[in-house]
Order: sequence, then C-alpha cells, then structure tokens
Amino acid sequence: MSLNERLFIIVPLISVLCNVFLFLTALSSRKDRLVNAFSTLLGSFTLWTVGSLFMRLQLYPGPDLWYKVSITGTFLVPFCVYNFVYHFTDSRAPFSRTVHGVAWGVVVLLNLHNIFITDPHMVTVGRETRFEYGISSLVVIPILLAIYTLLDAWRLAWRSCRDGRLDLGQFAPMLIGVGVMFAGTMSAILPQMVSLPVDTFSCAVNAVCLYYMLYRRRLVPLRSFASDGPMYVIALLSSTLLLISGYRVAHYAYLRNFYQFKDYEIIVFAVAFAVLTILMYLIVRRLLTAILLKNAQVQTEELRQFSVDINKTLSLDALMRLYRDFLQRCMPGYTARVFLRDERTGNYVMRGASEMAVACRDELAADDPLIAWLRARAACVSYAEFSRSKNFRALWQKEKERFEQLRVEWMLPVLSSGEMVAVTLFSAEEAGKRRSLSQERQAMLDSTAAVLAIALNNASLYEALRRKAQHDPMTNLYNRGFFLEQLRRDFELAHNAQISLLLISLDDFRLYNELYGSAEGDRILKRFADALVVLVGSRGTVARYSGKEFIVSMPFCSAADAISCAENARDWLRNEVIHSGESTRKFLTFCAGISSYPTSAANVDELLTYAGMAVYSAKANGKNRITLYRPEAEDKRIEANFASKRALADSCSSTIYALTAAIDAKDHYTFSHSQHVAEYAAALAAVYGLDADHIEIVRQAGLLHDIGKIGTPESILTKTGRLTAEEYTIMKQHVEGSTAMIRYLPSMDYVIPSVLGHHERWDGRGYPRGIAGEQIPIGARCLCLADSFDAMVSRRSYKDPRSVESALEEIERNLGGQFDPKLGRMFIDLVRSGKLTVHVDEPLPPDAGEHLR
Amino acid sequence: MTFEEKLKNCPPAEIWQEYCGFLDLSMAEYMQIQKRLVMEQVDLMAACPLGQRFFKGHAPKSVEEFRARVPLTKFQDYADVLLPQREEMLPAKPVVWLHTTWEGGDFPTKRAPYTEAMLETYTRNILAAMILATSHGKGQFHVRPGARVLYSLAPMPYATGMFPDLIRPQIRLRFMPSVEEARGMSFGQQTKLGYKMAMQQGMNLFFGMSSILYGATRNLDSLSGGGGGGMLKMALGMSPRMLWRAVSAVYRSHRDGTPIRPRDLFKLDGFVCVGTDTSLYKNELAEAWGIRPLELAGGTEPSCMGTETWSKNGLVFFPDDCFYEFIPEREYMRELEDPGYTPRTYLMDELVAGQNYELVITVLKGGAFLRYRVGDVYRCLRLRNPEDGLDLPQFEYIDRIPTVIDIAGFTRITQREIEKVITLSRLPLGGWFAVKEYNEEGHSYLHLYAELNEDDEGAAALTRQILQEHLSVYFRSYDGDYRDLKRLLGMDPLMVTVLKAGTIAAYTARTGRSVQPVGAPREVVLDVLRLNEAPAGQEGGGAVVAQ
Repeated sequence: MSLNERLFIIVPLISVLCNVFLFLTALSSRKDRLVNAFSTLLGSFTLWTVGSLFMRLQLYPGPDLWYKVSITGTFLVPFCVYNFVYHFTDSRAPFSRTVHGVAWGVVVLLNLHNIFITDPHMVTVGRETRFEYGISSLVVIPILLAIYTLLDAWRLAWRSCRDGRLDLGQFAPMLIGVGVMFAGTMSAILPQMVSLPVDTFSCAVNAVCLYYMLYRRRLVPLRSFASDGPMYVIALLSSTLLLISGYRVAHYAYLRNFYQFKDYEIIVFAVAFAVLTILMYLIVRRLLTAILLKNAQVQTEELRQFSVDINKTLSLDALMRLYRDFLQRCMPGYTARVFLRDERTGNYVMRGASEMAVACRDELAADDPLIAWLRARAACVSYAEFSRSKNFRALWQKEKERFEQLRVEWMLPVLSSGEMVAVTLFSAEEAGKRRSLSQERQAMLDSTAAVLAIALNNASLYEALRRKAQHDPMTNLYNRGFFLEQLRRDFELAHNAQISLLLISLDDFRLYNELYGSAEGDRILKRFADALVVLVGSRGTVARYSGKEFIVSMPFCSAADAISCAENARDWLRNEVIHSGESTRKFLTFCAGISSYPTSAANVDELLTYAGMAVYSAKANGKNRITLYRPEAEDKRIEANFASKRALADSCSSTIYALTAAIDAKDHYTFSHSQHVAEYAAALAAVYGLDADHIEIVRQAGLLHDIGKIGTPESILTKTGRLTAEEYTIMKQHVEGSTAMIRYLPSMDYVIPSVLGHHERWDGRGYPRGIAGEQIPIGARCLCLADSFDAMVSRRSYKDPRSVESALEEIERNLGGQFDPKLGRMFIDLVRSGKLTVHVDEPLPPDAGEHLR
Repeated sequence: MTFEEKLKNCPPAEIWQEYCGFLDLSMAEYMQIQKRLVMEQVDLMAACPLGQRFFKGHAPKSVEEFRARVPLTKFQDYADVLLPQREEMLPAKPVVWLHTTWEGGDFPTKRAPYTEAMLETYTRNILAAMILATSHGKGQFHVRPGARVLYSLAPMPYATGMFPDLIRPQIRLRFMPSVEEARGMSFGQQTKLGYKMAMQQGMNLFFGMSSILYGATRNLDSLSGGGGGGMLKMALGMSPRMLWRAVSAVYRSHRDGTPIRPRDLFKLDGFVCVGTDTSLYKNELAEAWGIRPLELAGGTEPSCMGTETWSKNGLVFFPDDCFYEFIPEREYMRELEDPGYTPRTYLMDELVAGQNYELVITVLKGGAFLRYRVGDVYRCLRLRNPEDGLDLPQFEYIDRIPTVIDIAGFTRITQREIEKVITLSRLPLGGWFAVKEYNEEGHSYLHLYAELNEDDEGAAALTRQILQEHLSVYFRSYDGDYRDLKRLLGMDPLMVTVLKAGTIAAYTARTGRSVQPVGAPREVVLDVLRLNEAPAGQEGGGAVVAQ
C-alpha cells in the first residue's frame, strides 16, 4: 500500500474518529437548540468523512453507496453551518432559514442523481487506486448556493455583533474553522493536492474549532469527553486501527507459530480483538479521567471526607471549624463568611470566616430581603443574580453598600426542613471582575449545604439538650451544677491573678411570694436574672444558685469590682420594685456576700464557703447589705455571734430544759444524755478548730438533738428488745420531729443542719437524707460521734453500759463507715488523753431488778 | 456592568428581570418593599435636622406611627431649607439639585435635592421605561446600542433634563442633537434641530413632552424645515433610507390626498411621553406615529415614579422610588371647602378602582420630602390587570389638583398669581374666577371669567380684547414659564370672558355657595354663565368672550 493510499485511509479515519467523538460528546451534554444544531453539523461532517473513508476502503456494499453518503454530507455542510450560526446568534428569520433548507434539500436530491458531479468511479493507476469524477456545468448552482448560504450566515453573525448581542471575538474559532475547511475543499481540485486527503482533514479541524466555540460559551463542558460514549468510540476505533495495521503481521506470526491451530484463527483473533478493545477502553478511561475529571474527583473526595468528619461531631464550634477548613481548601480565592440563624431573634449571626483576620461581628436581619430570596432559591446563587431580582429593590442603601464592600459574589443557603438555618457568603479576596463559578463547583457547594444542614440540625438539637442541662429553665441562667464546673475553670484560669465570687440571696423572698403571689415572684426573679446578666456583662458568669440565690463568678476581678456590681444590682432592684407601676409599693432587697481569691480564700471551696458566710453575716446584721468576707472581721463577727448565741441559749434555757425534761420523763435512761452529747460534741468541735460561734452552735444542737423524741411513743423508747422495722421507722422520725420543733424556737434555726444530720453516716447509709462524707455538716458529724459514744457508755432499757475503751474501739472499727475518720480519730484521742470528762454509768449489780434491763 | 454590556452578555430574560421584574410583584410583596424602604427613610430623616423638625424629637417606629404622626406637607414646609440649598439640614448629601416650577411669579422655582442612591434608582427606572417602551409583550423588547434618540424634554435643571446624563453612561445612544450641543441651545432650538436631524438620519426612540409632541405632530412641515426649497435642501442631507421613506411618503400623500404623517417617515422602536394632558393626546399620537406612546409619571420631587407597561394602558408606580399615599377626591374636595380639615390618606393596597386620588409621596433613598403633596391627581384605572399578569394597581394621570391650573405641563397658575397679575395690571376687575379649558385643537388654556367694576369710569372703555391683551402682557412679564408657552408652542393660553357686574355675587346669593376662584367645577361655571346670560331685568346681559 502506497503512502498516499495509507494517507487516504488514516486521515479520513482520524477525521471520522474526531467527528464521531465530538458528536457523542455533544450528545452527552445539555440539550438545547444550539447543541442540536451543532450535533447536526457534526452529523454532516461524519457522513462526509465516513463516506470518504469507506469509499477508499471499498467496503461493502461498494464505493457507489459510500460516495453518495460522502457527497450528501458534503452538500449538507453549508446549510448546517448556516443553521448553527442561526441558533448561535439567536436570530429570528424563520422564512430565510426555510428557504435555505428547501434549496439544499433539492440540491442534495438532484446530486444523488449525478446532476452536478457526473460519472464518479474508481480507477487504478499502477498500484494506486483513485477516485475520479466529472463536473457538470450545473455545478455552479450548488457553488453559488453555498456561497450565498455562507454569506447569509455571516450576515447573521455580523448583525448580532452590530446590535451588540454578541462580540466578534466569539466567532473567531468559527471563522478559522470554516476558513480551513473552505481552503481544504478548494485545494482538493489543485493537481498538487489531488492525491492528498486535505478536505477530510480540514473537516476535522473545523469540527474542533466549532466545538471550542461552544465550549467558550459554556454550552458543552470539556468533561463531557470523559463520558462513556466517546470513550467507547475511542477504544473501538483505536483497536480497529491497530487491527487493520497489524493484522497482516499477526496473521503470519500466528500461522508460523500455531499452524496446527489455524482452524481457530478467527476465534483467537476475535477474542484478542475483544480483549484489546477492553484494554483500550480501560486505558482511555484512565487517561481522560486523570486529565479531565481529576478536579471533580478531588472535590468529591473532599466532600466525602467533610461529610464523614462533620457527622462525627455534635459541637457547633467544631462543626464551624471543619466547615471553615473545608471552604479554605475548596474555595481558594474566596473569603467565606458563615452566618447561623439565632433561634431567639431569627437573625443570622456571623459565626465564622474562612479567613482568620475577618472579625465575626456581622449579622443579617431576619427581614433582610436577601434572606427571603435565598430561602426561595434554595441553592448556590450569585450575588449578581440577586441584584437583578425584585427583592433587591427592598434593600436599604447601607445594606447594599455593605454587600458591595464585602465584595460578595456567591451565596450558599443551608436549608433544613424548608427553613434556612445558615447562609455562607463568598467574597472575592481581590477586587476586580466578578468570577464565575463552574456548574460542578456550584453543585458541590449545594451538596455541601445538604450535608451541613443535617449536621447543623443534629448540633442544634444537641446544643438545645446541653443548654437544657446547664440552664435553669425559669431564669435561663446557668444552673448550680454547671456553675460549679465553670467556677473551677475560672479559678484555673485566674489562679495566677485574682477571682471574686458574689453570692446574692434575696431577703424574705418567701414573704414576697406570699404577699404578691408566686407569679410576681417568678417575674421578679426573671427580671433580676436578666438585669444581672447585663450588669455583669463579659466580666463573669451568672447562675441561679438556689431558689432565691444568684451567684456570680468574676475571674480577674477584684473584690471592689464585685462590690460595685452588687451595688448596681441593688440599685436596679430598688428601681424595679419601686417603679413596678402598681399602686401598692413593694419591697424587696437582697444580701450579697463576696469572697475573693487570693485575699480571703485559698481555693474554690473556700470561696464558696466564705461567700456563704458573708451572706449569712449580712442577714444576721439586718439584711439588705453587701458584705465582703474578711478573716479579721470574721473573728469579730464570730465573737459577737457567739455572745449573741450564748445569750439566746441562756434566754431559751428554760424552754430547752423543759423539753429535755419531757424526754427524760418518757425515757428515764436518756436522762442527761442531751447534756452529755452537748459537752462531748462541743469539745470535739473545739479540737477540730471551729470558732467559738460554731462551737456554741454545736453545743446547742447537742442539747436539742433528741427533742423530737417527745413525739415518739414511750413503748418504743423504753422497749427492751429489738425494734421491729415499723418501730424503727417511727424511731427514725424523731430527727424530723426535732427540726420541726426547733423551728418554733425563736431564732435558733441555725442548729437545724447539725440536728438534722446527726444520724447521717460517713458512708451515706444513714438517715434521713442519706448524705455522705463532707456533705454532712461538721456539726452533725460531731454530734454523731458524741451521741453514739454517750449511748454506748450509758445504760439503756435494752442494754448495760459499755466501758469507755470498748466504746472507743467500737468507734475505731466504724471509722469511715459510720464516722468521719479524721474526726473520729480526734475524738478517740480526746477521750484517751483525758481531756474530755466522760460520764459513765456504772454497770448494775447482777441482782438488780430485771425490769430495768 | 453597564446596561449596554448587559445587553451584550446577558440573556434578555435576565435583563427584563432586573429592570422590569417589579411588574411580577404581588401586592403583598410590593407593600413589603414600600414599607421597608420608608422605614429606611425614617431612619435617615431621624438623624437630620429636617427630619427632626417633623418627628419632633421622636422618630416613628412603624409605618403606621409615621403616617399618624407626620403631617401632610407642602413645599412651603421645606422652602427655608431647600431654596437656600442647606445641605447640612438634609438626611443625605445631595449630588445634584433640580428645579421645577412652583407657582410662577414671585415663587418661580422649587428645588429638590437628589442623592446618589436616588439617581441610581432614577437611572434604573428610566432604563426600565426604555425597555418597556420598546416592548410588545412581557419579556420581549428591542433596545439596541447606537439607537438614534430625538429628545424633546425640558432641559436641566428640570428633572427630565437628567435623562440623557443618566442614560449615557449606561448605553451608547445618539441623541439628536448631541447632549453637549443641546446645552447651548434654547428648548425651542433644540427641538427644532432634533426634528431636522431625525428627518435626515431617522430615529429609533422618541422622548418628548406630550404637548410638544402633539404640536410637532400637527406641524410636521414647519418643524422639519418648511415646504418647497426647505424640503429640497433637507432632502440633500438625508440618508438614503430616509430619502426613500420621504419619497414614498410624498408619493402616498399625493396619491391618497392625505397629509404626510410621522409614521410614514419614521419606524420607531420606542415612543415615550411625559407631562400633563398625555391621556388626551395619546390616541392621536399613536395614530400619527404608528406606535402607541408609553407614558411616564414623575416630576422633579419624585423623579421617574411610574411607567406604563407593554400594553401602554395604565401607569404602574415603581416600588422603590417613593412611598405612596393617596388622598381620595372627596377628601381633598372637603379640604377645599374646609381648609382646616386634614384629609385622610390610603395606601396602594387600599385603593378603589375608578376613583381619583391626589398623590402624597415620601421620597425614598435620602430624599427630602416626607408625606409631600405633589399636587397631582391620578385615577386608579384598575387594581390588577390579569391580561398583562399584573397584580398591581394601574393609574392614569388626570391633572393638577383643582387649585392649580397647569398649561401644557409648563406652568402652574394659582389664585395668588392671578390676583397678583390683576393687581399689577390695575384693571378695574371686580369678582373673577379661573378654570382650565381645552380648545378644539385639544390645547389647554386658562379661562378667566371676570366682572368689571360697574362704578369705575374706565370700565366702559375696556373691550374683551383689550382686557385679554393687557392681562396676557402682565402674565408674561410676571411668570417666566407662561412666557415660554408663547415662545415654544406659539400659543397664548389666556381667554377672558367678561361677566356682568354682580353675576358671581348673584350666584352665591342664589345657591348659598361661593365660586372657587381657581378650578371651579364645570357645572358651577355653566350655572354662572346661565345667570350671566339671563335677560336684562332678571339677571343681566350676555357674556362677551374673546381670545
């Protein structure tokens, strides 16, 4: 086969390949009239080149048919070019187009009867086979018609440029392509070129130029090349080409090596061809994917990873960090600002930005027209599109200016159940012409929004639950549990500096509730909580500590700051109550206690204790006070309190004596028990290091701890045998009975904690509350030891007294179980050292009345 | 991106959406935009001394509060700030001050500040009107760069004079004459040269005041250079296309024995008219030009406020230009009878079809006017237009309010001006009243019905003609805009009817109602004339009319 013959096969084959490839690519892209017109044009090119190739190859059913196919394709090209330009310029000339179409239809029909090109036939000159034909004088008709049609197409293009609908630059690829095709076709009639397939070659060049023209107009994406159709064609034609070129060599090689299997040659070659095609397909797919789809795959992988990551977290902050990182990777050149909807106000508050330098201080109002528009669009959209919308007219000028200043180009709404939960604004990092975002990128952002919507939904549910667990439902302040954690965190943060604790307790709040109703009580609590949050601001954390108590942690603040804050709160409360607008003037005050680290407290527990003590002091000194805890002041206060308590106890001594006497009357064996317990417990409290005031409290608690037994039936008190479960239950009630009775004693309610806890056990198995360890007030723990010890060394109706040593051993055995180990050890040492005078009942002689046992 | 760039690079649907998308608004959406933007204006006003004057130290927090607390205003309420152009008193810095006729004479002009944002809206609205002027259906328009525009609107510093300056940065249009050239000419010269150029080169768009358009249509020959030699001279300068059209027009005119009409010479893409009495001229203009004119609503205070749609059968107000309130006819008539009465206003979604309303505007985007009575009366034609797919009310411009006589959109004559002219003229006139009427050519004029003092010795020597000429001289001398009417339109819009002395008093005595000095209803005028024409001995002699 000569070089020319080979060229006449290879060039049309490449051209066919190119045309079919583009044809399938166009088919796989978005369909509209323009793409259809382009596909039709490629179809005519394909007819031309396929016909030419098959004619040269003299394939079945013969050159005559392939000639007709080729010449029909050739004659259709001018009209198809016109049709393509017609749609490309969006022209309106249906009559003209119809005339062109009909004229070329007639020309094609006439040409099939060899009116213009006559006597086409194949001739063989030497070893070269050529295609020859004659030309009728009538050929001038299709030539003139072609010139007219192409000029008309050019007129359409020129008019669209003149009217400003299109730029001339957009037609440049077409001009080049048509120019090459025209030159190629014309050169075919030159003697020097007759032996070269320039016409089919120029046809392929033209197709590529037109494809590029459409690509520039974003009508066909390049990645369409990587769709299955074009890849199959490439694989098929490549393997066919290999087969054609290598068949002869392979055939001889097969016969030489596998002559005995020559009957199977066709099968072997067919299988080999199939395998070759599959291999070619795989190679082509890998290549095109690597070239054209690499970015898309990277994006998909990024999105998948983002999806996995954000589904692992429920923290909003973590979510925002992940989203920010994702946007930094996937949207280079843009600064993204993320706005989340605030459930309370409905506004969209900026929660993050892909650039660290961008301050998160922006907000979009709930009634911003952009919000309604984005909600309706529900997809990634450009700001330019918004600026064309009717909603844009409702923007305030300063809102427009803000968007302009931010250079917002794209916007991504995040919708969950039809509600927009977030929006991301993408700003160009550099001023200049707005950039377009590919459809793939927009689709990726839409997918991101869908993933983010689910994650945000989960996070907001979690946030709501977490908030519920950390907040007091009525005042919306933090609750006690969260506050204690926060206080420890604040302390850790500020332990090298200072921290103050402010505890506020409303005075006589129960009375306020009874006077004005609990609804008013709730209202004032809420108002006060809100005011406190505002007054404290960013200086600290406010919480509701108990029903009528509020507490504020103020890291890095001095006691003076806390006092100032408390004074402001007091002023606010006074104004609020006075100006409540009601005819009856209300009255409500509070006591505030302040403790401060490092001036007066050494750790968190001390801060809490001393703030409580300061409040206590304020209450004791007439209420409506702000008191700063000071150790020296505390001493004076203790002394004063001790004196007042002692005076109080003295004034109540007759009452106390009467009550204890009443118990004695019921249970003879408990005679002097209360006195003994009071002495032992007070001694122990003193050894423990409590101040005089507390010691006096413990002593008085000892005196009163069993007065509840007045309500216990005598039969149970004096029972000699083991108590039944029911009797034991009744017996246990004496603790509540004691506290209930103490409430009736004027101003002695301070002994209640000690009395109430004297049957609690260190291990938590006591009663009535079952509290354990240091939760049990220190006074109660002293009473517990003293009470048990005296019970053991005293005679009871059901037992003889035990020896002191035996009792101490019993206590020792129960350290950590019933008794506070540290305190118990102190008590044992106190007794054994002889510093405590023990009142011991002597054992009765064996002949003593049995009834006493 | 300029409008021209958008035409090149964006699909027509996008351009339509951007500029004419407001026509797709529902009534609720429209009101939402109105209310949102008026609160922006309240916000701006609250921060400036002018606004504080109306808000009295407490800015309204809602539209309802704004309407309840801010009184209806007239230009007098702003004159001390706007006439001396005190920018520090305004809500936003103005970039241009436009002028318009106030009352003529001693109060010749009103001034209105325009902020950058207002101009932006103005531009967008003009371009929307241009698109609609060239449209034949929703979304179908034909605006092209390089189009030839004959521009026949009042020049700067009037609001219409801003059109070319606003349009030029957006799209290449060939104004005839060019904007620079026109600046050195009088309005009349500009119009005449424009027509001449249009005859030579053709035109695609025509912007004009209705009265001038109408005059030009009826006197095409004179505007284009006259007949005979002028035509020949004109033909030499014509483009081949215009020459062909002119020759065809002359041929058809001779063949059919009809005059040459503008439609024979020009194929317009768009035809825009503004000004008083447009509705009177519209049909005739459409017939003459072969394209129905698109009417715009606006003025110096509100800028371009409304436009017709592709159907050209009713104005739609732009939602972002002004906040609109409407005083029903019965309310402003009641105010005329009882000046102490404060008329009630209604919003766009509270109107009734077929009713006349006086317009009250609050200029948005930093404008100076709050609840301002422009003095224009519109009729609400319909509340929605299903044929065009409009859910918004459409209007027709009726006239100025009854106390103002607007002649051809040039001058606004009030009771004060007429009193001043009569005083200056020293004519011995007794009672009088004036109304706006139309002659057989459709031109409006001022008809003054006046009584001569019976006991004045000079009165017997005064004929109607002398009265009219005398008064006309004083009108021209006192009111510059009135003078322009004569100069531009060649008309003296004054007609005087002399009544018998005591006719007006007799009418009042008989009916118990006084005759309004300006804008008396037609039936009152007829009753007065009947009294005037009653036989001697009963109510007096015949009326004498002169023009």
